Amino acid sequence: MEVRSREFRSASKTALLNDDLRAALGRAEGGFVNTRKNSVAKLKNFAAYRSYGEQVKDHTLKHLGYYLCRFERKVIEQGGRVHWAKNGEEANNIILDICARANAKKIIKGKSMVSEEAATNKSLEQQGYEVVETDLGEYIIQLAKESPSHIIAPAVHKSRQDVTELFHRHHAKLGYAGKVTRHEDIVNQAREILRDHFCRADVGITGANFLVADTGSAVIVTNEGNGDLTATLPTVHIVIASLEKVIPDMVSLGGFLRLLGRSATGQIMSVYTSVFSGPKRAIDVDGPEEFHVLLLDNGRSNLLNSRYQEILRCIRCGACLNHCPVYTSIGGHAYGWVYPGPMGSVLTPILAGRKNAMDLPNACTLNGRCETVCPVKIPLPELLRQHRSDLVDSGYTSWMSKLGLRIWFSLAKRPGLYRKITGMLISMLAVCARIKSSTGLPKGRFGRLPLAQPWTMTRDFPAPARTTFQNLWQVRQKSGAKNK
Amino acid sequence: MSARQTILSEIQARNGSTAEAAPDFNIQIPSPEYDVDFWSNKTAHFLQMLEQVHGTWNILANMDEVPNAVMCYLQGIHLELRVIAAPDENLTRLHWQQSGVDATWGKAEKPDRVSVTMAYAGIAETGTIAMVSSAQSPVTLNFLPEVNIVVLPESRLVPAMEQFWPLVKQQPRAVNFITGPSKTADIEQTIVYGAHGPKKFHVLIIKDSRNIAMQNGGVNQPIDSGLIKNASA
Repeated sequence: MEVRSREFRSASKTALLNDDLRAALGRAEGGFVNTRKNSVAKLKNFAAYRSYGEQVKDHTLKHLGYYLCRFERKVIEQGGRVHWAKNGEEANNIILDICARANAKKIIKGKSMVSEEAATNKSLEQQGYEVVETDLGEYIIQLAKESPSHIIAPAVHKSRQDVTELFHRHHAKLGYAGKVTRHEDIVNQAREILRDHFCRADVGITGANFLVADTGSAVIVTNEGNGDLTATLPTVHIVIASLEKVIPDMVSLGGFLRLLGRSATGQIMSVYTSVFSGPKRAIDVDGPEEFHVLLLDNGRSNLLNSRYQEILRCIRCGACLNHCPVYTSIGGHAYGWVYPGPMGSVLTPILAGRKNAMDLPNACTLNGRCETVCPVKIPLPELLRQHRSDLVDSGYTSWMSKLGLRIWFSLAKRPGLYRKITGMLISMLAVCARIKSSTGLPKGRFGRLPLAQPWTMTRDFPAPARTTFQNLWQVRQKSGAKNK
Repeated sequence: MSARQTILSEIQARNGSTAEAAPDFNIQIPSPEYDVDFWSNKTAHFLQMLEQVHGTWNILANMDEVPNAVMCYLQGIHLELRVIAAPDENLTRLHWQQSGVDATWGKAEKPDRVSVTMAYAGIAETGTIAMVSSAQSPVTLNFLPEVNIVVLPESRLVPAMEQFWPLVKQQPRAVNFITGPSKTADIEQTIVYGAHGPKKFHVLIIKDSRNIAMQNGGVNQPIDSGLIKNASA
């Protein structure tokens, strides 16, 4: 997928002015946050599972070479094939090759964010294949020629009216003359149309939530059942997954499943969790003849033992998006690439190039909610701060902010001077605020401040207290000493 | 150098891990803790969880009651008494015609509206049915029809997923964990049932599980949950 994160500033401004988007995001935020909270509360030792998930992922990453090779060996033992790809282009070439050998025409897909990274659909369509997304949300945005705006709810930005019109435009020629407006009817129409695609597709491509090294299995978690039909009906099943999806065994899978459903949608367990291991066996009466797993690196291996390794623990639940005040205000598209929100702001600069995504690590208030809800305890704010620091080191920051930082830095190294200057500024502001009460603004607020226009353009700056905390503290200490 | 070699040597250069260096994996999984004690009351908890996800159920005394229960259920939702059923001996030996149910055997095709299957196991913690693919258990039966009726011998109910895996002797092509009917919330966060999989999910629990032969080398004996709990801990 093309990286458009450079346009973050303008895209987020546009998003903020889009009332429909704000309404859609408001609906989603409330739903996700509350349902997560309720289901997490019921599992009394959820915290113990978070630590377990963190430890198991760290262990697997530490021994990634071993677990990937073990996974590969097990897939082959069961009659499947494993392919390795360094980047998206290699991955797409492998997929094209499999589809060509299978003589495929129609390809159906389960939801896969990794295939969005690789822009697999585009590469298949360029070669003349018909590609149909089967997750309802993905299907909607495929018709709308858009990209996912949320990693688990790709069409969260669309309203029901949007879908009604979209379906009418695309389905009328298939014999669906009337417009469908009720939720049930919309879902039913998609079900009927996609059912036909399922039954006639030659190749099914899915992602994987987990790869189990011990058994060579790909685990797919869905609520709709589209992933399972994609993995079962066509003669060829291709799983595309990034390296860090591997986990040791089925016991650890149980631990991750207790984290995933709750963190993603507030479900105790998603409707379908399917464990696929190899192609159809001799005794099976259905299932694919070929089972391929495509392991995509795309920059992951470079993160091992780096300051960003912890982001590889991510299980793509989307909780950090749902709890992020920035994501829930601007939605996913403004981030400009596959992964939005906090995990996206960490990943995008790494995977898509730091200079292409400079604004993302800065679009964060460091409020820390994302880290609190992360099921595998990724220190997202810390990683975003690390990005900011690396951004300065790599020379991508403007001379203005560099100068500002330099001034602040030299001040911060001299605590006495720092205290004096900040104390002066603060008492100046406090005095000004009292004089300004005649300007119409409520007392004690600034409508404009020199050097702070971006802040005061959209809100008032509160006047500070007349003295600093440090001064107060010193006075207190002194009087305390006297009292003794 | 192949992509495989490049990736593996990059990983090795980064943290030294290789195909040969088998690590010791001994991180203990916590045992799930809830306000309710579902270990000692598996069936009640299973049914409660199943209801929460819009699944429905009946409790039957033995396998012989299955065809009648299927008939009653289908009449209740105004569907034809026609099913595609798993070619499992536990089901094929039953008297379907006596109950007026037209049963055919095998995998599901597009026009099939109702499927009847034998569960491999049930998981009490989450109200989940575990299906294991085999000649007797085609995967399409779980996903294609609009209505999925699953027969679960009560003796096959395990407390949690950790107690399920030891029951699987050989890794099958597919293990499908099913927790309620298919659903989606992709349009305005509103839940609609029957996105791609079954719109209705009905479980028949069989109290008396004598004479039920299990597939995949599984043995059908009441599972001593205490024993397995200790073994996994």
